Amino acid sequence: MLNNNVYKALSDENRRKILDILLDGDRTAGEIAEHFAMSKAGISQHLTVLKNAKLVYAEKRGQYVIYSLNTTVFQDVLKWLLRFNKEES
Amino acid sequence: MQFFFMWLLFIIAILLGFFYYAARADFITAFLHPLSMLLIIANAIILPRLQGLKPYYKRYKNGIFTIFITLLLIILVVHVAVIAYESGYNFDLLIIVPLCVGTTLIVTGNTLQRFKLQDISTINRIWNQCIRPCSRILVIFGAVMILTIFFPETMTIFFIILGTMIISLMISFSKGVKAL
Repeated sequence: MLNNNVYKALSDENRRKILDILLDGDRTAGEIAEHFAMSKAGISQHLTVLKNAKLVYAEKRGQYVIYSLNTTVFQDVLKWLLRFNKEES
Repeated sequence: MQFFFMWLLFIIAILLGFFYYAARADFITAFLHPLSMLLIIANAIILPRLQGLKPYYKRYKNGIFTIFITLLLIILVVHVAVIAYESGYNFDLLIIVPLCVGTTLIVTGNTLQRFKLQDISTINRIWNQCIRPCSRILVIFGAVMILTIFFPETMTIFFIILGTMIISLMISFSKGVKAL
């Protein structure tokens, strides 16, 4: 449920922001990249980490890969706690 | 691995049932719970073979199995508790009710949030916007239900919490329907 991959994925602020973006609905990597001032390759790396932790689900639709949120309630709580921890430090 | 664990729980339950039946000859107490477990395992075998579920099954397989295994564990706990009680161990059998219902709600609610369908039909939209958001309510009330075992008048508090949860779910559902 909360393995090391999940903790590692949620520890990064950019990855938490990607999860927040996906809260509004499914997005392609390009649409997610619009919210960041970093390269698409960088976003792609973050998405791979999230995908490996099973926090997002990637599905190929036509020529696009659509990313959707795949978090459990406990993972959402952990995400919220880690954000709070970051703000504290 | 998941099926192995499911069958293992069933075998433990059925063996306990046989031992109890040999001692007391009470078929219902000995085999009611193992048979319920068998129905859940049958469900887990049939689900991947249903054509309508095939597009979703791969994505939700782990979540579905988590729910099934939790249900099997809970039935096994109830089975052991009932057999122990019937065998003369004197304890409050009702205390396992909030424990089992609470655990089921936490595990189901926790996993339910993952079950998202494509917005291609009204039924899918109702699921995504009205039923899926209820997952947090289930987890919160499940945790509160488990805590009731530490209070006096456990069952009264349990039913109050159950009633409050049903009202909360209905409010959440109606809000989701209005927002469609």
